[in-house]
Formats: sequence, C-alpha cells, structure tokens
Amino acid sequence: MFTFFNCSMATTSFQKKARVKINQIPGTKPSLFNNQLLISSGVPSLDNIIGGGLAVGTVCLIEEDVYGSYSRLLLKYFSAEAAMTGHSLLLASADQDPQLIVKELPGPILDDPGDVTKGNTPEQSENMKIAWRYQHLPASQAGHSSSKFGHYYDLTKVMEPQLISSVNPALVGIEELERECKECKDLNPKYKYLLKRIKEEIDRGHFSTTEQTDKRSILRIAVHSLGSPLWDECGGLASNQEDLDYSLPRFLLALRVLMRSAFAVCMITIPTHLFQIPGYVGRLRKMCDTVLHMDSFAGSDKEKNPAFKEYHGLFNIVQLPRLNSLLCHMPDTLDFAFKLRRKKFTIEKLHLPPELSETANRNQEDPLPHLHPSTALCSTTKPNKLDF
Amino acid sequence: MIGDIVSGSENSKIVLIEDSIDANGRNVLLSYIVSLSKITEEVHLLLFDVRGQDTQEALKSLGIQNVKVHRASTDLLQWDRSQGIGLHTDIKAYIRERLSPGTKSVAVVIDSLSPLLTHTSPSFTCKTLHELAYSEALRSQVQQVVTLLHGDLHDDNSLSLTHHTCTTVHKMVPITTPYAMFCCNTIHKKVSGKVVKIRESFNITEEYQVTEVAEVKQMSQNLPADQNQLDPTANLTFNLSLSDKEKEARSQVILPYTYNKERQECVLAKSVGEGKIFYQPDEADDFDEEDPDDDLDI
Repeated sequence: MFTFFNCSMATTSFQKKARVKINQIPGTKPSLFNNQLLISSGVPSLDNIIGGGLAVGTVCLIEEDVYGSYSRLLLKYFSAEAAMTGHSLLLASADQDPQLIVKELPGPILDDPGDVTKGNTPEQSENMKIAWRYQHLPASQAGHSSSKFGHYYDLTKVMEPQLISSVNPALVGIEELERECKECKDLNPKYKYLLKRIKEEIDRGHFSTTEQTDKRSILRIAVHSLGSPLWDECGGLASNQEDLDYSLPRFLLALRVLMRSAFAVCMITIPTHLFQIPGYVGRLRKMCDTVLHMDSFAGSDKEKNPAFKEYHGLFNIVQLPRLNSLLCHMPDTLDFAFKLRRKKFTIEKLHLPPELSETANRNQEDPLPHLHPSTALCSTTKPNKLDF
Repeated sequence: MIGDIVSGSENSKIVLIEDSIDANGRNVLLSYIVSLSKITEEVHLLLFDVRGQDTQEALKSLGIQNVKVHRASTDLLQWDRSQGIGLHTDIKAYIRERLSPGTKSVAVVIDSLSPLLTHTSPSFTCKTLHELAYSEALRSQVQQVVTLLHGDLHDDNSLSLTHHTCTTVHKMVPITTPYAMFCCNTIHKKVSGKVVKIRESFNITEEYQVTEVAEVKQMSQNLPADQNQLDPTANLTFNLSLSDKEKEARSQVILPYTYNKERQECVLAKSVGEGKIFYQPDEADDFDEEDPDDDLDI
C-alpha cells in the first residue's frame, strides 16, 4: 500500500526558490503564477482566493454591502497592514472622519513561530486513529508566518497609536475636500482634488517607477465610500437629473493610469447599490482591476435562511485582472461567504447543506432585485397616490 | 426600538421620518421634538414645509420653552431676493449665529426635507444633513438631527441616497393591527455596525409621548426547516442501526491505515512541506526483495 503524504490546505507553504533580489521590498512577494509583485490585502483568507494578494500597480474595487460596515472593515485591515509592513498610507473618506477610522484599526496578533510547534501534547495522540500522521501538525494555520506577508489581526484590540504614526498616514477628510476643491467642468471637483492629492503623495514619497531610490516601499491608498452623496455624486446623474455624469469612471481611469506607473496599490469601496442606472456599475467595474462584491445578510430575508446561519454575508469575486497575461487567476470556486467573529474576519468557501426535502421550493424573490428600470425621473415602480 | 430611539436611550445621529399620504408622520416628529427638548439644551426647528405651521401650533399649545422656531421664507428659491432662510442658505452658519452662548448640546429638527430634496440635488441635501450632524463649524455639539420627508414626492434614486446618509429611517405605513394608532418600519444602524430592521405599531399620547410599542410580525412565507428535514434512515426494509455488542466489535477491527507500533517507527517526522512516500505492505502483498527483471534474457 502506498500512501502519499501531502499537505493541501488553504494556505500553501510553498515558496518559490528564486534568487533573492537585492532590493526586495518589505511586505511584498512575487506571485506564484506569474511573478507579479503582490502585497497582502490584510486578510490572508482573501489573499488566497485572489491569487496570493493584490498586485502592485492595480486598483481594487470593493462593492459595498448595503450598510457599509463590512467594507469599512476590509479597508481597516488594508490600512492596518500598511502599519505592520511599513508601507505608506493615504486614507480618504468623506462619510467618516479619517482620524476616527485610523483610531479604530485592529491590533495585530503577534505570536512567535516558535510557539506553534510545541502545540500538541501526547494526550492528543489518542484522538486520531486513522489520521495519526496529521496529529503533530498545528491545529490552526497561523504558523505559516515564515515570510512577513499577511498578518492576522484581533478585532477586540486596537492598534497602538505609535505604530500608526510611524507610517505617517496622510488623511483626507470632507473638510479638506470642501475647502480645496476647485470648479472643474470635466470632472467632479472633489475627484479631481483627490487625484491631485494622490499624485502629490506619489511624488513626495518617490513611489513613481521612473524614480530611482535606495529604499523602495509601497504606497497604499484607501478610499472609503467613493461615490456616496457626500462626494457630490447623485448616483451617476448630473445635476439636471437627466444626463449621466461620467466623472466617476473618468476618475477611475485616471487613477489606474497613476497606479500603473507607481509602486502603489489602491483599494476603493463604492456603494454601488446607490447607482441604479443600468450599465453604469458595469463601467465602473471595467475601469478597475480587481472587483469584489460584498452582500451582507444584515436586515434582509437571507438572514433567516438556515443555510446561511454560520455566515454574515456572501462574498463574490466579480472580476480579476489579467496582468501581462491572457488569463486571470481562476479560483477553484466562485462561491464565497464571509463571517465576522468577535476577533477575526474570514472569507471562506460557501458550503451549502444538502437539500433533503421532497418539495424543493424555490425562492420566489427576484434574482436581481437591485436592477430596476431607470427611475431617475419622477416615476416610481410602486403605484403612487400622487400620480396623475 | 422606536421608543428607545425617541427617548434617547438608543443613540442615533440622523433620524429620518418618511411618511406618505396614507400615513402621516408629523406626530412622530412632534414626539421627537418633545423628547429632545428634555434631553438637550436647545432645539432648533426649521420650517420649510407648507404645513409647517401645524407643527408650530402644536408646540405652542404644549408650551415648551427651549424650542426655537425658524420659519423659512415663502420665497424658498429666493427669486424675489427676499430676506429669510432659503434653500441655499448655509443652515449651519445660520444656526450657529442664533445659538445662545454657552449651550453645549443642541438638536436640529427640520420640517420637512422635501422642498430641499425637490429643488436641490440629492447630494446637496445629504451634505446638508451630514454637515449639521458632524461638522466642526457648529461649536456646540449637535446631539441629533431629526427630519421629516414626504416619500411620495420623490423618486427612488433620491430616496435611496437620503436613506444612505441617515442612521435611522422610520417609514410610516398604514396601520393594519387594531388598537394601535401608528405603524412604521424602522431601519436603525447602530454604532457597533449592527443593523436592526423592525416593524412596529405604537400609540402617541396627547403629550406626544410614544407608548405601547409592539412588534408586528410578518406572516412568514418560508416553512420552518425542521418540517422539511426527512430522515433517510426511517422506513427501510433492512436494518441500519447497530446494537451495543456490534458497536464494540466494530471498534475492535484493525483498519489498514491505523497506527501500529510494530510497523511504523519514524513516521511522525516533522516534514510538512515535502512529499514523502510511506510504503506499508499489507498481509496480502508479496514483498519480494528480488528484482523481477532479473529473469529477462536479452
């Protein structure tokens, strides 16, 4: 009998035996598939499903859940990862004061790799009769921190202010946006100011690919709730409520151009459920590289569905980038769900229980509830007593 | 939930009461004003609506002292260049000038937001609400901003943008249960991030207190899961269960892959990343050391 002992868990400990570059940037690693430079998004379970991490020079769009709390959490993880790896950070938010967001970053779990190997005691060897070869392996997978890529955070703890101030984050809040934006007819003035600010930050920190510096680092740009009404955005409509306002796709295109020539990664969250014009969200998606969609169960009927009771929401990969190749990374499944424990946020494969009932009753709800016909004008889909 | 929010035990920065022709929301607005007049030092009431005088008169009859009423001019869009509050006046600066010195907690109530939403863009309305609640310009702390909105005057897009900015939305619906005067659907976003969505019926007394709040449960469409779970092992013609003696005999069986001290010595090595092949001959295997190719005669 032959038995092949292989460790095929979600995180792989496989490391490519590459000649170490002289100027290896801390907190990055080359992708296993196409040698693209990657950084961690802050959530290791997310890194695994999008092919190792976020590629440097790309824009990641997160389509917000309806109440925005989970997408804000993802941004916090992204910003916390900047503090842990020493990358620079630019955080922009109109809905919330960025100072408040920075104060609430989760604290890291710092455990030695040495603690993990002395995990299993001899008493546990009796538990495994058939799988006895695995009993010496650590129960959790937190031990794979052999490289400084991807940290685990504890949501009950808050990151120390000294750690955050060591990376000197640049914060852009609504007061600054209101004050500094200038009239512009091609582009929403606030977006234009944000672009200007990003360009300034890239130039100041020498992140551009054309500049030669000794100590290369990465700039992480986190934009919270772009396209919300506080950015002077009316769901894609111009001020006359009839024409479309293409400022947001133009902004995303200009942002992508900036990212491509800089050692920077941008993570944006957009409340796409507010954009009810058909096709508009499709344009936004095409303008970005990685697009992820979060659909939380909070306050919806799905909360009561017993299949979803372990999870807090669905997580969809809408789009993955094809960088210098013909294909994008294809994960083995596209059904993911996320759960928020007291301390941890994880994204997992969605396992549905088997359907054992005789009468398989299909859900009667509309499969695409957020796509209504254009209601930009006064007409609504519901009968209205004031209609004449 | 609505009782808690009105009384102030549940924190909510921006409250929106959305009513319609079928269900009036002005009473809920008045109960908010009455409650806020007790919690905060000053309540500033801005009247943009045509029926704003109803609210003003109701308050006058109650005789509450610390509510300051600001009537907007009838020329809201300021076509006649008249004085007074118009839709484009900077409301926060206006209120800041009229604050009594030394006030620490203020509440702002707007009756109603509909003229603002109709004549200006939804983003301007949302920014106004947000600035009133959060900006540093109002030197006192604004405890809460409460506003009324007539849902049937606006389109879905504007309404959804306004809902997005508010932390609590009460949507008044026609009453279905007997013995209650009002019913509303409430969506409340707590500070912790949790969202509560509830449908409640309640009464409002003559002093504009919210009482007898009761949840109205919807008829559940889904059958409970327990009913549908069939047990596949029931109703079979053969026996699938085990007696105790049989269970004991089962645990005695030596399975081929279990740990056997005679056969393994150093298998518990720490190799994690490598692939090692462990060969364990069965009883049935004929483990012959000789190379079978030795017989070949080439």
